Amino acid sequence: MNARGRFLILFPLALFVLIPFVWMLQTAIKQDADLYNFEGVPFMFQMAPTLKNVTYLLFETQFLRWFGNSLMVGIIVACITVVLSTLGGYSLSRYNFPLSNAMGIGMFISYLVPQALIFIPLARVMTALHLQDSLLALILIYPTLTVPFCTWFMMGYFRSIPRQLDEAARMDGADTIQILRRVIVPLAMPGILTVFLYAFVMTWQEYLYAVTLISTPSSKTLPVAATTELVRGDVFFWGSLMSATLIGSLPTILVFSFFSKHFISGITHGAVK
Amino acid sequence: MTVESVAPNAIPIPSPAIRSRRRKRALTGLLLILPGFLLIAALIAYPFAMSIFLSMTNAEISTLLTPQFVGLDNFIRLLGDSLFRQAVINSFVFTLIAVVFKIGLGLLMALALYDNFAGRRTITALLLFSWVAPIALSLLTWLWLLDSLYSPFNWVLRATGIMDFGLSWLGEPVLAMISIAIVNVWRGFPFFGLMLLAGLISVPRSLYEAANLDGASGWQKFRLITLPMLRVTLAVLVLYATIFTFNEFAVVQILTRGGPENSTQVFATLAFQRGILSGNLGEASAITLYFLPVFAVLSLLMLKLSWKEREL
Repeated sequence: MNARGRFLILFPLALFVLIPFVWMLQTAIKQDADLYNFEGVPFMFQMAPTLKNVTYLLFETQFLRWFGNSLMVGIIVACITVVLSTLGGYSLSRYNFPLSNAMGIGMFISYLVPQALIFIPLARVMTALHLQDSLLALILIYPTLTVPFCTWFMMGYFRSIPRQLDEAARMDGADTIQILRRVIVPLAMPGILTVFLYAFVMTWQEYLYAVTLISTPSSKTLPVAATTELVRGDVFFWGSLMSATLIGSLPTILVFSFFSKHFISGITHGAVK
Repeated sequence: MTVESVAPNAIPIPSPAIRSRRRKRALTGLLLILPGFLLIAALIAYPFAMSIFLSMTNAEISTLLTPQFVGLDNFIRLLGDSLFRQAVINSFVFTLIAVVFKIGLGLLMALALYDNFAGRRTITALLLFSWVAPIALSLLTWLWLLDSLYSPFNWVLRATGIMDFGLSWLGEPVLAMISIAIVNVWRGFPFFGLMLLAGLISVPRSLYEAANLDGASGWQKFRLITLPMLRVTLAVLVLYATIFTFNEFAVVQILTRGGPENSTQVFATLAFQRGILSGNLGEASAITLYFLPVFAVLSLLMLKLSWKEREL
């Protein structure tokens, strides 16, 4: 494709993707009177920018608490995902046992099961376990969203590591756990990092389970709290809402930006395998 | 020739030592995958089985008392429920529009990013922002962007003299459906663009070089090489997009809550309202299970296609 065709496609697409982010950023630091100014050009500042919305959010609401909840859940789930999908992916890539194919297919299908199909009974399961309203419920459930894809992804990754390395280590007397720890995991570090980031991003974004299972304000994750706690009745305080959106979007966007090269090649690599 | 000689192609019977080593290996493989598998079985397969049970009862969320078995009552009642029927139609309309545009824009994005150019990596990353940003938070931004009074789009409509007041993006039935579809496309198309780009890259370049020698035009190369080679990838992505778009929750719940007048009510939001907000788990399970046949067909097709692709 020539440069003109490329521009004609990519420019409108980029505009489409980025306009909400520009609008979010602007609203977060605009003064109220400027926000509700009917006449001025909306994408420009008529008055000096302010940090009032941000300070209100940080110090007058439980925002930091919600941010912390999301961060904790995200990191724990990412760690669980790394462990489970590394073990599972290694098994599927190296071992052939009677149920291995069936389990592989089971993983694949569970990746396709939409959350909307099981959130109703899950609410009941969590009530029975006395985990309703607890972040522990989310920590238990979220790996079901990440482990299937990540297991498949790691399986593909491990297949690209020659089996001879395992065998050589086994000759030297290493057992399976030692082979994994000393040989395979160090070689698979880029894949493991991709899995960690993917799981963190997915967990940080999740909405349906979180809104279904958590109702105590101080236990909410950031996306749920922003859409329920920061909206009082029908009154939207757009300045502080957009500050929350901005700060709440930063972790995934920053993580993604720093590792985008890695992330993009990792995801596409896993997809075509 | 002696009697003891063994036919050259006979399968040697493994010695007990080899057999026990094999059994140990199989056990190791099983133990490695078991933790992940059990978690998924406990929190996907079990609730799934439970929803089939619940759908045939009058279970309530507030009490764990044994629910009464009501057979297929929930399913039958839903058939006569005009709101449910509306939600089914809405789900199909929403899915059709959103999937077509997600795949279409994704394909355009992939084609534009195929050749290397300065800044290609940066643009790819920027385009993926809508996919990595937390969707529930992005939806608040869209709610504000589509505000009936302060929408910047309405400002543009007024400033250019096209309209006196602008549009009520989320307040008119047809427009609300278009708006939620646009937002769903905004969120989803970059992911499909990335996946299609991966598909494009795996098409051997030599095919295009041969076509160039034959003097093929860009359109001919697309129609006769790119599309056929991408067929399986496209089919898998369309199925994937359909499954997840059909079950969209956040976009509808945050932007319209199914309104105005239920014109954007879909499967997931209706199940949420009936099951979580009103507490009628039995009926809500029945609502989600009406999607099951669609899901079963789509996921089996996808499984078959992915398998075929792996074998190629």
